[in-house]
Amino acid sequence: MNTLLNTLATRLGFHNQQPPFSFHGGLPLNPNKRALGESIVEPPLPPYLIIPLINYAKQSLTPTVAVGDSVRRGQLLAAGVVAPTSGKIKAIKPHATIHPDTLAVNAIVLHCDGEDKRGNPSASDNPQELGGASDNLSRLIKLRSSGKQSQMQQLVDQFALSGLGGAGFPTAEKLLGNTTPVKTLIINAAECEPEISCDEALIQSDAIDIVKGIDAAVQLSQCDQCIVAIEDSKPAAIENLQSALKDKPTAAQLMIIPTRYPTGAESPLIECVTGKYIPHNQKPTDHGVVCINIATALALWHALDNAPLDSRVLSLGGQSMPNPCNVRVRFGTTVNFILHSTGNNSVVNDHRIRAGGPLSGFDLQNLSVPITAHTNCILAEPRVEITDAQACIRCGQCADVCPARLLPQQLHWHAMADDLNGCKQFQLDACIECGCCDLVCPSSIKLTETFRYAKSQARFRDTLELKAVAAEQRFTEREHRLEQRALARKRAIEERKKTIQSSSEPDREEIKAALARARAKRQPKQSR
Amino acid sequence: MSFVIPFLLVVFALIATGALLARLSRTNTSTDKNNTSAMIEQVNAVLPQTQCAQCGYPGCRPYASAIIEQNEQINRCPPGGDKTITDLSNLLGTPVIPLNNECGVVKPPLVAIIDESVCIGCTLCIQACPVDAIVGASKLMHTVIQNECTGCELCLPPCPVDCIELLTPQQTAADWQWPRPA
Amino acid sequence: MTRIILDKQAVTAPTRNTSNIMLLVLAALVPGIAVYSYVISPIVVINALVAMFSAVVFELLAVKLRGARGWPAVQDGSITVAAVLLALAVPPGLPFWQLLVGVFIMVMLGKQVYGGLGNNPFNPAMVGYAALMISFPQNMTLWFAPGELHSAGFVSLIEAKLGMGQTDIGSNKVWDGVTAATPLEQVRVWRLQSLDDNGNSTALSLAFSASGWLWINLAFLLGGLFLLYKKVIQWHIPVAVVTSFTLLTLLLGQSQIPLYQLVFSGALILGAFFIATDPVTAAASNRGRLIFGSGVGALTFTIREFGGYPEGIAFAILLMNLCVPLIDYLDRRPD
Repeated sequence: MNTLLNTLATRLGFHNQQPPFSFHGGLPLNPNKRALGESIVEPPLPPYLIIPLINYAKQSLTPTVAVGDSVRRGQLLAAGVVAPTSGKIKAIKPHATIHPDTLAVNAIVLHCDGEDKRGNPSASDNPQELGGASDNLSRLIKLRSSGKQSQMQQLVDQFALSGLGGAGFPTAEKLLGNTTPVKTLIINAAECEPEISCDEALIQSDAIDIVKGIDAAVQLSQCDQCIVAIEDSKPAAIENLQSALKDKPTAAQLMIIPTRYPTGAESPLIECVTGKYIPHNQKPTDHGVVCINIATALALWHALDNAPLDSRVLSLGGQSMPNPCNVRVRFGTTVNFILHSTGNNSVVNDHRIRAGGPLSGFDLQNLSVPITAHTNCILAEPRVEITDAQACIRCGQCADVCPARLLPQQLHWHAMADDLNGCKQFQLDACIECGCCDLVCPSSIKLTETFRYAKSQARFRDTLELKAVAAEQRFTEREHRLEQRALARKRAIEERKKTIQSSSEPDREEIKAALARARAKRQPKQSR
Repeated sequence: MSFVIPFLLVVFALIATGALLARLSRTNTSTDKNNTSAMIEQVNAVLPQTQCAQCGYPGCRPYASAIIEQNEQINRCPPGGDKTITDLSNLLGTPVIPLNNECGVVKPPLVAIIDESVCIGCTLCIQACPVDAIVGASKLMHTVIQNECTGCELCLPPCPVDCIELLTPQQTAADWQWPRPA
Repeated sequence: MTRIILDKQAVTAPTRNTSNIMLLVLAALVPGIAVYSYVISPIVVINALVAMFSAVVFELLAVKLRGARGWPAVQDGSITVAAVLLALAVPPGLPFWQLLVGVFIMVMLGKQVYGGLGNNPFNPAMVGYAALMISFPQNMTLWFAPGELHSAGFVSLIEAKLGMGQTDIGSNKVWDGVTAATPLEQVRVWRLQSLDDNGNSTALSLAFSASGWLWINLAFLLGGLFLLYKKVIQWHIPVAVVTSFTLLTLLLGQSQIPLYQLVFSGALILGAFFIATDPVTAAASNRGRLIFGSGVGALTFTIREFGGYPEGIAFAILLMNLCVPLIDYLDRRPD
């Protein structure tokens, strides 16, 4: 009876009143966990790695190493980037990356020597000096409480810890850089999208270390409570986590949430766990909520244990993948190498290879692109015809499924008209590009693509505007300066004139004499 | 008596609708068009701030003042292209006219770059740059601050050794844009 | 090679396309049409078929004139649904040529001049209906009591509608003693004549007629509930229409007919579930839909109670269509 009432209530649009809360919109998508197997596949080290010099905000980084340098695993290559293995730097040149347009960015080409030696060659090799994980943790906490920001930052930089979810936001900043106290730390164990099961595979194999990482994250963030949110479609992973949490009961509580896309995204997950929808113009941290990926928690533990983040687990899936699996690869490994080393090379010719999930990913045109921290899956899909979009009938299903509570049909209208102000009024910024609207659209309209387009247009316009404002300011300042300088010169001349006029007779005599001399000198010339 | 209720309903509905529409249509018509400096400010905000002087005025703000105070044409801004002309015509309520080709032609955004091996350090380009985007000192090498360069080309004519080139800025991941869906 | 960004096919999602939606709406109309043809006359099926066929022809023509490809535009099925709704909204005895005029106006002025599906501000079927209502007021208010058309005979009715033979529907030559006795028409007649006293015979025929319309409307309600269950429509508009109509009738209504008969006569149910819910011309957000629906209900009540037409839902919907951009503008985010 109760379940019936609940179903009825959710069908009528009422929301759960106790955790896990329901969030607005979303879709019950089939998780399609083809990749999930017994264990995580560990392919051999590739002959070379390509490490793009770019950070999560897409700013280019300056390398701290030069061509010809030998590096060891874990050595800093640029701010927040470490060498994933030991070897020699062969080149620093633009290289194609995983990008909808296969954009080339400056990258380090690292030829692996196969020895995989750890440590900084300039520092001591003695592991005792580096200290264990708990030492590093307590050192960090001490630095934090004593307010030694720069030292803390230095230590954190060596972790190279970027989020392993979709966005790759630096995790240390999330945990340590808060001005408001953290009330709730959410560990996101929900997968981002269908076809992806890398987090589940990780929990099944590494639950004990994950809980250690969660405990470290709790201590670092000084949160009041920590909740591990995991979908109900992962019974084995739930069991593993539960038993691991028994050993460290203080660390976190487990919350089992319904399997509903896109709970893996930050804002729906927060709504699901806390019941609060955080408007797009506010940050979760303003509400005392911090959300990190479960794989990142594990990476935090490894980083504290002097193994900076240099690899990740990703899912190989899709309808056409002959040998779907979860695979642990170093950052910089090319998609091609991954497919070959896992026995999936047969798909590369007559299938579409995608990076990222079915919804937020895209087809790759070039397979020799390196994977990065936020590449969570590689899919092989059959080639298909794209159906033409029909007219929008304003059915409103897109608005019903939108987790950001937007009106996609109205937004689409404004975006296609390039009306960026209209888009702003309808709060396009809040769109998380989950693709739910595309999935339900009966007219097959490419809503998310349109929104991405409009968002990048708006971003471009904003940068142009900022640049124009800066240029104008520089121009006005220069005008002002030139004016001042001209004024100063004029004043100086007047001053000089005045002194000459008011000066004493002897000076005047001297001038007269000088003039006479000059005249005398000139006269012979004229007579000639 | 039966007509009283519908009559009142109709009157009420008309008044309510009228009031609502009046409120909604109240846009920024309150801007005083006679307020010259405010208008110059608005025109200046529409201009691209390249400060290239192709319009015949020493910079964007002087051109903006000329548009307001001397009824200068709105089609003298090549860097702004059609968009600036449309925006200006919307702002001023004047018709859209094609770009005046005497001022220049529309070009993609460019940035200046100095061939540092050729530069003799004469400082002429530094003096010409309207936005102080070139740094250097006498007899020392000069360089362009790429982020501040507006691509105005004003540094080209004074350079005695022709060591300045204008290039399309290299596309970076940060300013890559999603294509418009078909 | 086409490059796919968002891969819809790779996800098992509950999806439905526009043609499917239109098919579901047509399916939901079937019980209503069946009861209608049983109670009044099977001529409604002929009307619906004529309207559907001519609408498709006109649509193809219009799309060709606009320089677009014809078939894809017709395949979405939206014009077929609109045509059937128009055929159900007009009196069954309306001559075919007048029905064709209505369909033509529906396709051209109701839909295609705005750029086809998705761009029309007014409900096309109701545009056609309104045009017919003001062009042919006599035929458009000529309703028959249940059973009357059956007795007239199907063939002679077709002949009459084709304008052939001796028959003329407008002057009731074929059907002796026909009274225009829908409950709503009766209400209007009483009001115009300020009659408080209703004779026994009228009351009897009225009760009979009302029960017939009750069944027809219940069948449409069933179809509407099916659409709700299938999530083709949301509950907001129908509920708001019926609620605001009921509330206003209870507060201000002066007719002697019981409320349930008022709700279940005329086209209120058909309009609330099938016509006002047309997503193209209704408000976009749920809150907007409630406002839109309440407006439709209130205007229907106002026209029925104070206006010169027996039924007001068509004009109510058109007037509220007019307000949709404003509602959408004011309510920019769903709840």
